[in-house]
Order: sequence, then structure tokens, then C-alpha cells
Amino acid sequence: MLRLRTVPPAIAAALGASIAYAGSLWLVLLHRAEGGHEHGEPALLIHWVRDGTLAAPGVAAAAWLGAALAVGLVDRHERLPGRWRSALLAAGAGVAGSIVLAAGSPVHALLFDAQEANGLPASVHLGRDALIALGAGLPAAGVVMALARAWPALRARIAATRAGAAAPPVADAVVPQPAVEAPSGAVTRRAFVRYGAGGLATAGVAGATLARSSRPARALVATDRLELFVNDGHVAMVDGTLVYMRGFGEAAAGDPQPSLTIGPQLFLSDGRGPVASRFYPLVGEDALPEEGTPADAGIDPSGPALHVIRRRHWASFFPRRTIVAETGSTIRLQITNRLAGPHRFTVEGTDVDVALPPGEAVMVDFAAPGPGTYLYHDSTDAPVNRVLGLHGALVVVPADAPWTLDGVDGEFERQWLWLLADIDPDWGRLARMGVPIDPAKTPSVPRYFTINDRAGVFSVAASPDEAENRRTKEDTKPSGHARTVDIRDVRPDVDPSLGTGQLIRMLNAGIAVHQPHFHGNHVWTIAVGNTRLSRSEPTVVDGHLRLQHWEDVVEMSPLDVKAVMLPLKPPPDALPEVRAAQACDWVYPMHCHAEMSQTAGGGLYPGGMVSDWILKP
Amino acid sequence: MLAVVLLLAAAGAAMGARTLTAHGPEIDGRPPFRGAWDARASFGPVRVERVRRLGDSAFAGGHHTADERVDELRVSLRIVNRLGRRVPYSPGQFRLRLGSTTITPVRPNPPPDALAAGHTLRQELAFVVPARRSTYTLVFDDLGRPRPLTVALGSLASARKD
Repeated sequence: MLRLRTVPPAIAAALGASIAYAGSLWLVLLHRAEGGHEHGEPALLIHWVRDGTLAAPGVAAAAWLGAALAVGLVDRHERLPGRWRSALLAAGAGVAGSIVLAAGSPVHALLFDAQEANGLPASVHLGRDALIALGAGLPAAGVVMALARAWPALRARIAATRAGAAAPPVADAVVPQPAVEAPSGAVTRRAFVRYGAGGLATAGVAGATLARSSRPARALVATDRLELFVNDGHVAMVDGTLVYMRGFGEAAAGDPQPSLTIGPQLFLSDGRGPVASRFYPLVGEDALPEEGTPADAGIDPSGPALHVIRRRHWASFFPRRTIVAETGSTIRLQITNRLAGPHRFTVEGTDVDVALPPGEAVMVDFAAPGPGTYLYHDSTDAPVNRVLGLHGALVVVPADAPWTLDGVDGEFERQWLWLLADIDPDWGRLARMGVPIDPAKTPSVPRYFTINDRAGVFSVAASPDEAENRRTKEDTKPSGHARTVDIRDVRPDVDPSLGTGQLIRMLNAGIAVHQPHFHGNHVWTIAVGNTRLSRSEPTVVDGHLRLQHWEDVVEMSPLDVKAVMLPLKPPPDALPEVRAAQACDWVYPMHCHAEMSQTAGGGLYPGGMVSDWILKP
Repeated sequence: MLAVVLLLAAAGAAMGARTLTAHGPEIDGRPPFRGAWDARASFGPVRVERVRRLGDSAFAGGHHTADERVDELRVSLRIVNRLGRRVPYSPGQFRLRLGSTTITPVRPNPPPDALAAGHTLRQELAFVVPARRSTYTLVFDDLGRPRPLTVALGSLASARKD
């Protein structure tokens, strides 16, 4: 029934090529019209030639089998006229070739990251594509067979012309027929069907979904320590996109409302803690800055729009993920890893580095390190888990001088913490599927950039959520009344009649180098990596001059920690006349100079790492 | 046998031709072919019920499109959670693909939350699209699948008269 030699290899190859290229062209055109696409999609011509060429061998084999099967079934005894026999060959080749061409769609999707856009179930999609390919493949096969039938006559005419004699008429030329029977080992229809089905099944496996796994934690009771949970879940970005993230949360909760961060917590030198409080020091309500802005203490008559400020009075609000500890306190944690894989709790710049086995709760006690700002994070597969969201800030303040950076320098009116982070949805997707992430093979390409977990309209306090805007003003947007300030000398023992600035602690938990850039005034950089810089004795570290200095762009490499003082004074280029006439707030942008970080989702501007600082007139 | 094959080929050719011609310059969209606007998400069906393209002077362009005419594409969806549990959901999971780039919906509402078990949600999405483009694909980031779902919206010529 199936004798391959009834179809000469040359005819089979021509049939296969014609069906492959004609069908591919038709399918590429239609899928484009439907909106289908693939990663780095080439131009139409290249797309068609590539797909047709890749499909040609398989389609040729199928066309050969199909043609042989058709004549074996219908015209085993070669009784049909040559014209009908040719049509039969074209039909068999067309049907088989079209089916194989359509069945190659899953392989095509795998190879080229192609996405179909018709929403059809796979089986219906395959059937539809086979029919559509047949619509183009059958005419192409018909043309091939017509040419094959005409070829002997044409060749004879050419030979005759060359010989100088007229070519004899050729009536009803036929396709050359085999002289021998198929060997016993020839492909049978049953084998053809079996192998074809196996190929389809193999292609279908590629679509299997990998499930994310997590396991419940053991229930433990803790009263005098801060409970953290290593959780995972999806977090909405500024454009509404949901991204898989991990985090140190305050409750054992996953999707759809995962707990991935903690509210600010205090550990005090008198042994109290954890104390849940958004502000520090624990002062009365009269010392809480309204919408984050410390009120003035009167008008400074020395200049237009100048004020006298209250020193060592105001509390400072801190963002989520913050642990504030006074020197001399002990930080007591109980961390439960609710995920399937191992994680760690590491405090950068200290010797705190604890393993967190899956499903277990681990007690972590350590004395507050020296005054400064520390990044706590999961150092497993660094920077992967840190970028996935397992990070936060530990702020250590001098217990006896809470309005200074370290008890010696940097007295501030109030302080701020900026935790910079980058979010890569592709890493999140891989992590959700349980795929190991090798940053060397899959470099991070962040699409979202945050300050204190906010971006765009949220980090400038202009979102539709007024409660969130208020929190942003309290813990992220520096603001205060204009005052006379010599920021270069804000030691507590210097002239107390001078105003001070506002301290901004910066940490970069992300993977990109960020450069917060301040409009209006420069900032005075006091400390790098929790080392207070000298005011007069410069040092060189890694080629960088280390000295307290003015700068308007603060370079923040991954894991960097810096402390800068923002002088809340009228900018130097603001004329007294302008200052006298200014009746509303002076709002100055702060944005990162790493251009991509100003966007969200690959282009939504300004949806990234942006904020403002505000000078009250 | 030859008649059957010819019939099938004719049907395939007609189907292909209809797919191409169905992407006509209609302001109100129609699916390219039956069932094309249905997608099966990991939690249940996502069905596009209507697509409209509006030429609206309110969409005069943003930071980088000041010199580019834009339209508003409105997509009406019906989403059903057929699982026995809540699933995270945000209208921001939908994006519109234009060639090799995707764009986010404007004024996404409701805020990111979750779809309750058995709940049916009617979702209205609005996208600002360049007036020069006419073929769109809706992309849904299905959290239960390794890759986003895509739904062809077909082709809608610009609604602008100018």
C-alpha cells in the first residue's frame, strides 16, 4: 500500500519545498494580521524564508509519504490516467505536508519565543492552520506536478532542438514509476501515524506550567521579639502590573494579599522593643511634623522668607521595612522561612549572617552596631533574593544624641531614609516558576525603580490615594521652612542659633547604580558606608576622594550607604526680590540620573525613582 | 478523495482570505473569526466583548508624543474566576502590544486586588494608541502561566477625521 518508490525523490523534494514555502508565507501573513509576534521578529521576507526553510525537510518527508500513501490507496494498480495520478500525488502531498507544517507551530513557538494571538485552543489552532496551509499548499503542489508532467516533453524538445530535429509528440506524459516493490522494511501507514503522533505529544509537553511551591511554617509564639516571615507573592507596580516578589513580612501571608514588608519597629536602649512606631524619637504629638514638615519657631528678620527653626525637637517618620535601634539596644528577631528554598538574614557591614532553613523559625539576637545605616537582606544567590525584595534597613541612632548622625557630627532638624530598589519582572517570573536564576546567564533588566517602595505619582505624593500621599510626605519627601544655615558646620557644639538641615540616609538595595540628583540646592555628604568623612583631612578610597563635600548628584552603587545633609535654605540663585514675592511652596525635583530609572514598565515616564523636596516660604 | 481534498483546500483558502479581510477599517471591532476573542487563563475565561477606537482631542499626547496624533482604544472584557480560591488580579496585568512594544492602560480601575472565587468581573480598559497604527494585540500577564496570554483584537483604522 505504501511504496515510497512510486514517488521519485526529486518529485517529493519539489512537492515538499513548494508546500513548505507557500504554506509558510500564507501562515506568516495571517498570523501577523492577527497580531501574533515573536521575540526580535525579523522582517516579513526573512521571516518567511526562515520558517519555510526550517519546515522544508519535515514537510518534504511528509509530502513523500502522503503522496505515496495516496497512490497506494487509490491507484495501486496504476489504472488512472497520468493526469489524475499526478493530481492524486499532489493531493496526498498537500494534505500530509500541510498537517506537518501546522504541527510545527509549537516547535516554532519554542525556538523563536513566538506568541500566537488568536486565542484558539491548541487542537483547533492546529486544525485551522492545517486547513489554511492546505489552501496554499495544494495549488503549489498542483503547479509542481503540472511542471513535472510537462518536463519530459520540454526536455525532449530542448534535446531535439539541440540535435536539429523536431521533437516527437509526447502524449499524456506520466510520472516515472518504480520498477521494484517496496522493501519489507519500508515505512508503513501505521508507523507513519505512530511517529507523527509521538512528535505532536513531545511538542505539547513544552507548554506544561511549573507550579510555585511553598510550605506552611510551624506556629511559634514570640512576645519580646520582632517576628519576620520570609514570604512571597505578587505586588502591584505603579502601572498596575503584578510582579512576583519575596520579602521579610510581618505576617504569615501569601497571595492574594502577601506580607512582604514590615511596619517600622524600634528597639530602645532601655530594653523596650520591638515597639511598632512610624516615628522616632518617641515624643509627644506636638513634636510630630505635620505632613512631614517641622513647623517653624518664628520669622527670622535677617532676610526675606527666612525662619527660625526648633532644634532637637522633632520626630522623624520612617518608611516600611525600617528597624530603628538605639545604641546599646539588642535587636531580637524570630524569622520564619515559609518558602521551599533556603534563605539567609544578613546585615551588611556587620557579622550578622544567619541561615534560614525552609519551614523553620530561627531566633536572631544581636547588639546594635555603631551609629549608622545598614542594609539587611538575604544574601542567598546574591543579588537575586535581594532584588526579589528580601531587604530592608536598620538605622542605628546614638541613644544620647538622637538628633545627630553619630553623636559627633551631622545634627539635623529631622531625618529621612531613602531605600532605593530595582524590580525585574522577568526574574520574578523565573523565581515564581522555581527556575534558578544565574545573573551571568540571565542579567537583570529592571523595569521598575522605587524609593521606599514607591515610584512615579506615588513617590511624589500625587497619586489618587490621599492617605498614601500623606505617608509619602511624612516619610519620603523632605520639607521644611527656609532658614539661615551653614551646613558645613552643624556640629552640636557650634553656634546653636544657626539652623540645621535635614539628614537623608540613602541605601541602594537594587542592582543598578543610582544617582539621586537634587534640584535647587546641593547636598552636603557627611558619611559613606557608615564612615564619617573628615572635614579637613581627605583620604582616597578606590580612587575616590573622601572628604565632606557639596554635590548635587550622589552616586549610589549597589549596597552603597551614604548620609547627606539637605540644607533647607533658599537656593543661591534665588534673588531676594523673588524670595520676597514667593507666596507658595518652592518645590524642587529630586530624580535619579540613571535615565532608565525614571520610567516604569519600559517607558512610562515619569513612573520611576522620582520625588521632590519642598521649601516652605 | 480528490474532491474532498479540493474542498478542504478551498475551505482553507477561504478561511485565510476571510481572516485577512476581516481586519477591515471598522471603528467597532469584530473578532477576526469565531472564538478569537476568547482566552483561557489559568483561573478561567477572559473574553473580549467589545473593542472601540475613539478619536478624542483629550488625548493630545504626552511627554514624548507631543507631535503625534493619538486615539483612545477601549476594550471591554469579561473575566471569570472559576477556581475555588481568590486569585491576585489587577487591570495592569493587561497591556496592549503594538509591534515589538507594549503599553499600559490609562486610568486602570479597579485598583489591584483579587478576584474572589466564582466571581465574574467586567473590566473596561483604555489605551492611548498612535493614530498611525491599526493592528492591536491584547496581552494578559497570567500569573498561573509561564508566558502571557495574547488575544488578537484585529485592525481598527483611526477614528480621526482630520
